[in-house]
Amino acid sequence: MRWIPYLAILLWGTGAYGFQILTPVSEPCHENITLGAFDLKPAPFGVDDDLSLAETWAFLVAKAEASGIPRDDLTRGAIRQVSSLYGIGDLDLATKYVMTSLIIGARDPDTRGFSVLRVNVARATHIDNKFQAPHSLRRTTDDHMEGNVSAIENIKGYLQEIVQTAHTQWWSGDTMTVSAVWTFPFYGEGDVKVFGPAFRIGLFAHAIQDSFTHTLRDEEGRIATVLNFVEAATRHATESRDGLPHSDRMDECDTGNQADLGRIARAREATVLAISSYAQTMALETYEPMIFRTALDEIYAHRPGCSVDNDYCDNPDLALAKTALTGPIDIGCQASQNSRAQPPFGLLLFVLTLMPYVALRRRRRAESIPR
Amino acid sequence: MRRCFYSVLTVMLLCTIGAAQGTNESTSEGVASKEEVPKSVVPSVAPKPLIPRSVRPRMLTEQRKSLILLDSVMQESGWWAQVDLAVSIYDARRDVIIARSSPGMTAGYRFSRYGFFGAVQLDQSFDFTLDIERLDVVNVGAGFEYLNFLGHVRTSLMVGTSILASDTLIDEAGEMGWFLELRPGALRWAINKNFTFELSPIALDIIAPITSGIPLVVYSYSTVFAVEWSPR
Repeated sequence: MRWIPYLAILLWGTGAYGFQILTPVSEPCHENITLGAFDLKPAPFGVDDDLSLAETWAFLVAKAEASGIPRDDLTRGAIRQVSSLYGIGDLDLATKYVMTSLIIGARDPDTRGFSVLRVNVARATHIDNKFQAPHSLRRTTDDHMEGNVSAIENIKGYLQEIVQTAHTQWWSGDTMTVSAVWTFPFYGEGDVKVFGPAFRIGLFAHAIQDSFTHTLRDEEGRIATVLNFVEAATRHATESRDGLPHSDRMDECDTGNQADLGRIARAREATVLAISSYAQTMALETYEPMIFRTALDEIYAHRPGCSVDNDYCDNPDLALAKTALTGPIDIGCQASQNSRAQPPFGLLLFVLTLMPYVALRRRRRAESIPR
Repeated sequence: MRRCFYSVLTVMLLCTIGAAQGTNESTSEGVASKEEVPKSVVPSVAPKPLIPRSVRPRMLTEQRKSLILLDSVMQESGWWAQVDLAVSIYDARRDVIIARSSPGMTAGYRFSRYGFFGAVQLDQSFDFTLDIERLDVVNVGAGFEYLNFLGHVRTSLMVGTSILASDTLIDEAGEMGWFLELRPGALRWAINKNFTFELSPIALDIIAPITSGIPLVVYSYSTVFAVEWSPR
C-alpha cells in the first residue's frame, strides 16, 4: 500500500518544503528536532547537554494541566493519534496534550492541518508569498542581494508576531487553547483545541529549523543567501535576481551524512535558543520584544556581499544544495492561488461512460449496412 | 467532482434515450427490409406484409440479437448470484487519494429485464495522511436492477445498513449508518451458459457508518468487477 502515496506524490509533485514532516513516505524531521530541543528524543535530535529545556518543559506541562485539558472528541482523538504515531502513549495526559500541541504546531506550516495528499491545497499554500516566512524562504519581491535582507526581516517580523500573540494570550487570563485544523483519517479535517503556548513554539520552531535548509550559511553560521521556492516551482526563476532555488536535498534528515547531521545539530541549537528566549519573554508580564529579537538576530545573522557571481562567498554547502534543486512543478496543478486545480476525472468519467455506448452503436450501424 | 457526477448522469440519460431510439429505428427498418418473413405469416394478397402481433416480439428479439455480435446475456426469470470487487483510489468528499476495496456477494431474482437483490459487502478503506490506517465497514443492503441491450448493460441501485467493523480514533466498532451504491452502466459479457462477467467502469459508492456527532462519510467513484452465476 505504501506505493499509493508515492504514486500520488509522483503524479502531482508535492516536492518537499523544508525539513520533512511525518507522512507514510517521509521522516518526522521537524517533529523530532522540536521534541529533541526538550531532550524528548534521542540523538541526533536530542542531546543531553547544558542546553536542556527540562525546566521549561515542566513549566509548560504544569500550566497546561492548570488551564484544563479539553475533553471534546476531536481533541482527545488527536491526542490518541499523535501519541500512537510518535510513540508517547505511556505518558500522562497533560504531557501528551502538550506534546500533541507542539507537534501539531510544528507540522502546521507545511500542511495547515490538511492531509499532505491534498496536494492542490499544499501547492497553493507553498507558492503564496505570505507563506514563505513560515519556511524561512524568499518572497517574489525579495530580489537580488538586497532580497536576502528583506527576506530575513520579513521572517523575523513573522516570528516576533507569533511571540507577541502568545504573550498576550499568556497574560490575558483567557483560555490557553487555540483552535487548529487537524486531519483525521477517513473523517477529514476538524478543529482541535491545542495548548496555545506549545502550539506557537511548534510554529516558530518550524521556521527556525527551515532556516538551516532554506539558506546557505557560511562556516560561522551566517546566512549567505536565502533560497527561493515560489519562482523555482513556477518556472519564473532567474538565479541572479531571485536567488538560489530551493533544494530538495537539503530537506533530508535521515541520511546519516555528516553535513546533514551538522545541519540538524545547528537547527536544534537554534531551536533551543529561540525557546529559551520565548520562555523568558513569557515570564515577564510586560512584553519585551528585544529578548526574542536578540535571539533572532543571532540565528538569522546575515553575511553581506554573497551572490551567484561569487558562488555565495564560496559556500561549502552549495554543491550539496545543487544536487537536487527544485524545478517547476506543474503536473496536474494550476499556478493560480485562487483556483482549485483538479485531476481530469471529469473527462475520464465522460469517456469511460460514453465508450460502450459508442462501440455498441457502431457495431449496430455496421451490421445494418447491407452486404 | 459534483460536475463529474452530473456529466455521468447526463451521459447515462443520453445512453438510455439513444438506446430506445436505436431500438425503434432498427426495428422498423429491419422489418421493412427483411424479405424472408415466413409466407405463412404474410398473406400474398396483402399490399403490405403484416406480422401477427403474437409472433412479432419473438421475431424482433431474434432480429435484434442478429444485429449485436455479442452473445446474449439476457435470461428468463430466475435466480442469480454474483461475487464482486469494487476498487477506488480517490475520496471525492475529502479530495484525497485513498485506497478502497469492497468485495461482496449478491443474490437476487430477475424478471427478464428487471429484478431485485440483496448483498453483503466488506468495505475496506486505507488512508495515507500520516500513516497507513485501515477502516473496515460491513454493508448489508437491498437493491433494484434493470437490464438493457439484451442484458449487456445493467443499471442498479442499492441502499442499506453500513456497520463500522473497526475502531477509529473517535468511534467504536458496532456503530451503524447507511450506504448507497449506484452502478449506472455495468457492461456484461456471457462467459458461458451459466456465467457472466460484469464490469462497471464507474459506480458511485457512499458509506456513512457514523451519522451522529462527527460524521464518517466516504464518498468515491469505484470500478466494479463481478462474476455472475445463474442456472439456465
